[in-house]
Amino acid sequence: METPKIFEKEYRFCLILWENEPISRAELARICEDQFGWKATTTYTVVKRLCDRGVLTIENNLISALVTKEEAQLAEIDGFVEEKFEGSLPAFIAAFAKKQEFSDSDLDELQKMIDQARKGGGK
Amino acid sequence: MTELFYAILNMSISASVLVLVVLLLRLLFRKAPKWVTILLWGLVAVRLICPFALETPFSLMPKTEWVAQESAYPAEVITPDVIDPEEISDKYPGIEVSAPILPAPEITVHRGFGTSFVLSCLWLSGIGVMLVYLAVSSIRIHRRTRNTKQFEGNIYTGESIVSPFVFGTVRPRIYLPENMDAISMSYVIAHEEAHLRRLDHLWKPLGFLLLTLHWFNPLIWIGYILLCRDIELACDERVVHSMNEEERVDYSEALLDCSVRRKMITACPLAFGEVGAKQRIKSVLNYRKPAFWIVILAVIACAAAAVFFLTNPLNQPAISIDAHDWYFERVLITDLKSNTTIEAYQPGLLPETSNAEPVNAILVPGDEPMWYDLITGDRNTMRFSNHFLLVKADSKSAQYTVDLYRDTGERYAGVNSRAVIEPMRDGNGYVLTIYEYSASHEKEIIFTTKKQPGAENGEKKLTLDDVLALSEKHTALTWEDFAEYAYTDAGTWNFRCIYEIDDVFWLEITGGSMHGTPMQINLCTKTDYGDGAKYIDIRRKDADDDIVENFINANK
Repeated sequence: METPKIFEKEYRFCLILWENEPISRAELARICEDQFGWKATTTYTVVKRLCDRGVLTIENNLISALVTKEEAQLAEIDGFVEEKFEGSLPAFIAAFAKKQEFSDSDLDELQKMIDQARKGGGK
Repeated sequence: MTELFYAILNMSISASVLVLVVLLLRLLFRKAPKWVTILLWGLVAVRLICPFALETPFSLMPKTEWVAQESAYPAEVITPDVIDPEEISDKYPGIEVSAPILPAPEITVHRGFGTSFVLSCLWLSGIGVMLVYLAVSSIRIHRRTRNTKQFEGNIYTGESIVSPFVFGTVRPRIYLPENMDAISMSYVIAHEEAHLRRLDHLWKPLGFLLLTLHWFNPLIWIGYILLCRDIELACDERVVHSMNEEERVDYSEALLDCSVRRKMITACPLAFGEVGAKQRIKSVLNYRKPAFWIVILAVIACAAAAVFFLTNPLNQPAISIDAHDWYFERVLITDLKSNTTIEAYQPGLLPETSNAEPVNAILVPGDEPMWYDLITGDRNTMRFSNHFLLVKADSKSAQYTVDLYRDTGERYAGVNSRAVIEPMRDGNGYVLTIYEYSASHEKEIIFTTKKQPGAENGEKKLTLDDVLALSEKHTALTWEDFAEYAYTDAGTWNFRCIYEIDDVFWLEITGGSMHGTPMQINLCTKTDYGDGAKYIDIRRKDADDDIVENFINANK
């Protein structure tokens, strides 16, 4: 089954979720307000949308993620490899090794991915 | 059609004045909320569509009629010479000129197809082009909305959607691109829903339709473009109003993500990233809730603009000197007692035209009624016996209201008096007839001018006995019966012949042609100072066969 997509902008929200799940809506809203300045309604809307997409689920008023952080990261890499290396993982590795063949945008993209991964791990 | 074009043209120019004012106010009230600006554009829209306006003394509009419609005929310029009084007596024997004649300026008489018609056609074609563009635009967008799925309520997503927009006037829908993250999506939806709540999906097409009518006016284009921008800014304001700084940053990011390569001004969609994304992002990031007093000030400015520019200046009172009101170019006035002629020269005024040529001299009533020449500024005393004539013309029709005043300033003619000026068919002048309308008579001729008797045709002068004799024939009377009598021609689009009888009576025959049965054969009394003219159709048959005779005896 394909992992439901998590968009870049939603990533930081998901980080909160992954760290605090299972979490009540109210609590989640409080944290989001703290961290991002989101109004409660904004948080609830995002929760609903992500729930519809299959990223998280609500049971007994508690929200928990259906997609783990690792799954999300993998999906991200998969997507990148698919896009830039026609799905060939070996090609990706080879290219990774020969850094000079990367274009600037590739580098940026990779860097971003790495950063995200690092953020996820470190925080 | 040409009248419509000229109406639109005048509305356009008036609206342009207002556009300039709005541009100024927009600049002054940059800090004010954008919905006020949009109200101002609303005022412009009113001016563009409504040819009428309240007349108030507060109006700052310089004019309401900027361009007068040429008649449907092209111009032919006639430059009459200065008229020598002696020339007049030669040309029209029996006429005495009681005052110097002022020189006439250039006059134009219009005949045939003119520039008005050509311009109207150009205007219509322009509208055609705009409508075609609108149709093509709508079809293209409609096609894009073909393969979309419903997401939530009236929100649809689709692969072919590149940038979010609202489409549809009756059942408007929000169209979003397929892969949007939840956060941007909620901002975009909030913005588009703001559009719907503000009814922008109605105002914008309406604005475009007005632009279609006024496509020739660059100021209106500017207005429309700015209106579109202001609509977007107003929606942003509405959404961002209750957001804190972080949320506004998120919102701007969403704006940035969605800004597309800007295409031409589109008539229909309210695309999220369409108009001036850079400006909008700046506004959103720098948004401050507007101070209360600025809002109040802006609203007051808006109301003031409405009062000053949405109303029209008061119509000039009848007696003031205003070239547009008066349509007599020059009037020769002679002694009324001799009952000869008042000839009114009205070059350019043909009954078919709806606007007469502007006048150069007016008659100002007063203790000493005077002709005031608008070009040279000369004043001349002209009067006809102990009356003088005050003429006011209606520019929409060839109708004149005429008031006869006595020396003393007393008004003589009735409230419903009306003067009709008809050029003589031989082109040698015009005939002025003043009618009074009342409940008892459909129309009563109070005053009329006519050519000198004994001029053209038949030799015999019609007498009352002749009239009585002829009246015996009743409805069998024809034009031919009067063929031997002298008449003067007084009609234009119909035939109207006036047969002089004596000091008291004259006979008037009118009809569509000078053959067969005329429309009217009226025996009329000449006007007297203070009595209305009376008339009777001599073909009338009543219980007593003497009705005509009685009329004659009653009025002798």
